[in-house]
Amino acid sequence: MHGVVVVLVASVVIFGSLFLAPGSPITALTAGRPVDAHTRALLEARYDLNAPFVVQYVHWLGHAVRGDFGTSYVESESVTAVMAPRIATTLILVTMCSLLVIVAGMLSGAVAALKRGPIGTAIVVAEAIGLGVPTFVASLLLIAIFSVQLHWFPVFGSGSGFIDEVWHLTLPSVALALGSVAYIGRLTQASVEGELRKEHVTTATARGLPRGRVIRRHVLRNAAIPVTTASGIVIAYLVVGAAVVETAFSLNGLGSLLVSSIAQDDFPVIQAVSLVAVLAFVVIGFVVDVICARLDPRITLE
Amino acid sequence: MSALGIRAGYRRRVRFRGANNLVLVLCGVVLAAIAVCVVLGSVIAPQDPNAVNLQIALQGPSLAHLFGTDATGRDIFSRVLAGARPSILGPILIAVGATGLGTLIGVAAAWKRGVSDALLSRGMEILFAFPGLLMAMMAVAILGRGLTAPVVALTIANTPWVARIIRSVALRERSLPYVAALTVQGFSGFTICVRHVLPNISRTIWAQLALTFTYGMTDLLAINFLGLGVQPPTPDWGVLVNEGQDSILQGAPWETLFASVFIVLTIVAATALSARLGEEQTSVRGRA
Repeated sequence: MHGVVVVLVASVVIFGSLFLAPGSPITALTAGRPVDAHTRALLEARYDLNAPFVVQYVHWLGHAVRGDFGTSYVESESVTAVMAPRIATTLILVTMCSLLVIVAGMLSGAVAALKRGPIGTAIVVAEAIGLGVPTFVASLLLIAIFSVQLHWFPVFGSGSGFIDEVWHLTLPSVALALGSVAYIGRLTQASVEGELRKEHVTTATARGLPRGRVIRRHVLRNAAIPVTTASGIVIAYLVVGAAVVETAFSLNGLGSLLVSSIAQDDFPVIQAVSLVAVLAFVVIGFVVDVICARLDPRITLE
Repeated sequence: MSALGIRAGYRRRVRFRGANNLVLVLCGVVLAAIAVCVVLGSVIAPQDPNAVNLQIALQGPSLAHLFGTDATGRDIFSRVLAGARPSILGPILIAVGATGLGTLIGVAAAWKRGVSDALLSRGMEILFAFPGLLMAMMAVAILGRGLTAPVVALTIANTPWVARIIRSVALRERSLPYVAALTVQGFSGFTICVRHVLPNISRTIWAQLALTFTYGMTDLLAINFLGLGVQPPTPDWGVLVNEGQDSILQGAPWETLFASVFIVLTIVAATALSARLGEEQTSVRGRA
């Protein structure tokens, strides 16, 4: 319910941005290209430009819900047709990246908390560096090392076929995941260390439970809840971060589409991709709530 | 026996603090050096950062060109030094703006509670759905390229994160007896906030300032890297990383590499500083 409100408000903002742009909405929609009377009339009818803002917005939203975001002025195609072939790339990229963040982040954090000494220290130092490397820097450094110097991975492009695509998207997802892995790692470590100090863990140990069982059932399960919440936010933000890696690696995804649309003032596409990003944020947030409710029966879904 | 135990514990704590201070000193040195570049960058640059000389294009580091030369033969060392100002000033504006606004909103929400607090919290939740980078890109779409649009957008995007932390700290502060004592003495809420609460939570505010600086820098330089912010030939570090992209494929990664080193050093130093100031007060924000 709450998510629906967020999406609705976000859609008002995204639609309203058309009117914040200098010049008339027609100028924004056509990127200032000269329009003849016929096109102008078509646009006015399509967007109800002579009606009050609320009517225009409802009209636009009605179309958007049915997947109709208008026409891209750069591609002269419907926005949906421009976006469709690019969805798969972004989806695979974000999925691979999320898996990396969850598996590598939680694993490194748990290991750092449970195993002190050189391994733990090494992880902490690696995390500090990972947190300081922005995605665009990581992308280019990975290209320089693994594609140009070592020739292990392709430099550009999304590849064809699923296996090839995963192969092409390995470096991009590592670049995108780096900072988030470090962040989730650090958070997991703090969470596990906090849980280890709690009384119920001491009690479990005193009852004579084997250490492995104490860690699995009593420490990790409880420590997972704050980490899951944070992972949700981090993954939702990855969708937007994908714009940077997709541009750096020349991938044809939604993120690079957003960047090129902004560079070319293609407003209908900008609106559609922004709305998809906000939608992804809300959906991922909902999934996280469901998972948290499964982990801890005391948490209930509204 | 017990005295020995205390001594050992004491010594361990001192050594730990010593290591921490070393990190802090290192961070201070890095940030001071960057600050010098911001103020004097283009003055101390050994060569003109925009002087093109195609005959010496794509050279590796040498005594004449410490960091090598870029695809049009410009001295990378000079460009990185001159680029400190555009790369640092934007994030500072974002950090000061977002921390100021966030502190104002956070303290006000903690003080008023009730309806205005609930309203503010709801409003913040909607802002959370727009990652800073998305907001910055939308702002560029509306207002056009340049530094203004992304700086304004990133200030707004970072404000709720600061406000949330400040609100929780201010709430805790508010429940302390000294606030009740001051209220009984008849001091106004405004006076208590400004004269007593703000100084007491100043450490958290400084930590948020440093942290917001790192997030602002990551996102703003990403916008510049994408070509939507500062435009070439201004040698912003994000622009430099982007310009070096083609040279990487020709086996000369120097421009991207050295600009990256400066970016990472700045962010790591500011993050460490923030962690030292605020201990556990970090929060999740989208990174780019």
